[in-house]
Amino acid sequence: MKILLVEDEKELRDTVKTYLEREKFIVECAEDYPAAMSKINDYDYDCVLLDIMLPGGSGLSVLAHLKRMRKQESVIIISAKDSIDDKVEGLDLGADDYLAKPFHLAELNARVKSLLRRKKAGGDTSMVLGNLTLTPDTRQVTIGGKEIALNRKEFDLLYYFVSNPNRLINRTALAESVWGDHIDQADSLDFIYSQVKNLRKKMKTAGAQAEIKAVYGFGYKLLFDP
Amino acid sequence: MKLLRYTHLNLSLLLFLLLGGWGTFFYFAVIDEVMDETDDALANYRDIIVGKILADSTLLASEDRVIHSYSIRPLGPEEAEDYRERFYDAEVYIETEDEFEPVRVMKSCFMASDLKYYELELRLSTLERDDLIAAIFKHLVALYVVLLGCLVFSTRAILKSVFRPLDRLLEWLKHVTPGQPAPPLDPHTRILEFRTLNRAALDMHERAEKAYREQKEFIENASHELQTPLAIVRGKLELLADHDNLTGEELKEIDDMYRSLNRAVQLNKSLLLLSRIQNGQFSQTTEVDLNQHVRQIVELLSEVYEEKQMTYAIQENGTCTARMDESLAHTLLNNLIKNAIVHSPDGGHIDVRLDCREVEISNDGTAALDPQRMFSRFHKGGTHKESTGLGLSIAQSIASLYHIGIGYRYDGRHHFLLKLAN
Repeated sequence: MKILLVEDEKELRDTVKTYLEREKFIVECAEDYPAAMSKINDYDYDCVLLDIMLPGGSGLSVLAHLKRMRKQESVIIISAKDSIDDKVEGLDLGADDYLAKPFHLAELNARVKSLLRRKKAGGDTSMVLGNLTLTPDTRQVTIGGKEIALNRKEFDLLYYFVSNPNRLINRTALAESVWGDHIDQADSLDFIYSQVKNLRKKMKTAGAQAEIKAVYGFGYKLLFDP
Repeated sequence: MKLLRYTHLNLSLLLFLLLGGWGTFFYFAVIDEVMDETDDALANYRDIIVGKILADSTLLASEDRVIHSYSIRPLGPEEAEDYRERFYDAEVYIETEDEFEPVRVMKSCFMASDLKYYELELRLSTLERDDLIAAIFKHLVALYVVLLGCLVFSTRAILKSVFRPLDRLLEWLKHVTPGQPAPPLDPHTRILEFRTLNRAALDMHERAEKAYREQKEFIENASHELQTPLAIVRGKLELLADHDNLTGEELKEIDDMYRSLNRAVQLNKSLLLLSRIQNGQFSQTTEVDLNQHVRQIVELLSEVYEEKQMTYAIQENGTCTARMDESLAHTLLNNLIKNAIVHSPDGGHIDVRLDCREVEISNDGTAALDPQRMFSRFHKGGTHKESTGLGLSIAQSIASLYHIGIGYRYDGRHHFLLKLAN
């Protein structure tokens, strides 16, 4: 899977690149508008991560150019300017998703994977982890062929875990992915604990090969040994 | 009271008194003059009659009773001693007309050629004089009323036209809100002071607008510029935490950094949101069902604040809908309800009451908040270290964007009331 990362800030570029490469993606980078244009003209990618404010031009023009060429790349806009107008314009131009900076790397990873799944599977978007299958479209989870009942939050948590297997995920990132803006003033994130505990119990009872491990004082990790 | 009314009322009162005083004085002066005229005529008449009598003593017995009547009566020496000439008004009976007529009487004394004193009584009909006085009075009153009316009316018209530029300026000021394009104001008027005032107002507005814009842009740019470094630090921390050989101690340190960083991220997001609300960058207005949002928010927040063991009651007396941006409606309710939860003691009770045009959120509290400062940025009532101090400020900005009244009262419990415009 080849990803083009268009981002002018070197540090951020390196960070994202490292994270995605650990996920076995092939990541190429472009640091400005001309570089992005030439890469797009010359190569094909599965997914393009596109910053809007670039030296030498706008990411939106890159997007428009991409669509004019009728290329099949999925595009996620990553912008520091979390403005509605940019978002609307980007999505109108044909971007598949929009992620505002500063994002969690796990969140970016989940979005990229979701897009790629959607693209290649021809309808089947389910994620498989050993004997665990998770289908985002129908919000169904089966373990060993048997469906298990999860509430909305448990499903969202599991989806995040399955998107980032063997990754240590911070409680805050987890909480944000499930509760969104509701947690910004919370004094403690202990409530995550009881939700994850329930999920863990359900997975264990159903005999899932993947296992959620708590890392004290930090967060959780979905352990899976392929 | 309006300036126009106040000035006009004072001027009218002044005119009323001045014209009234002047009219009264004028009336009495004229009357006095008319009386004098009559008395002078009587005196002249006396001189003529006395002159005639001195020439011809037979006239002593004569009398006239037609128009100017007179009669002569001899006086005793004692009577003549301290005789004083007098004038007075009286009425006499006129046989031909069979009625009483007002007359002016003059009583005078003279010594005839026989060296005896006589009293001459002269009577002059004052019918015409009284008619004249009545006519003067009538015309004076009419003049007074008409003059007063004209003056009152014309001063009002003049004042109104004088104050027109001021009215225009005030109307303009009413429509000026920082951050929004001001309606046009033509500074030209014939009156120098108003011209200066208009120019000053325009100038002030321009400067306020500039300062406002600059501040807004500054906050927005600063927030935007912060996003990238925040993203870098967050990413690096996430990568760092993902190393396998970290000790628990190290992870704890990373977690502390991560959480502090998150507060900075939230703060930055809130500032951006605030400046975007004030920039009017939310233009997608739909009919939002607030009841549904309240239910959803209470459900989510009750999970997040599970450890506080709060109880919640939603009382839905009606369906409350508002025309606004859906995400802002959510943020508004969310911030108020979250504020209520965060500032309640553990195990407290939250009430949300929804009527057709009202939402009230009530929670337990120990003392009233400072209504002057509670909505200002970074004003923190309590000691909640995780609070950004922007929640209520954002709520207020959203409310004012959609002309929703936001009120607070305290009666042992805190009550926040949202009043939707009709």
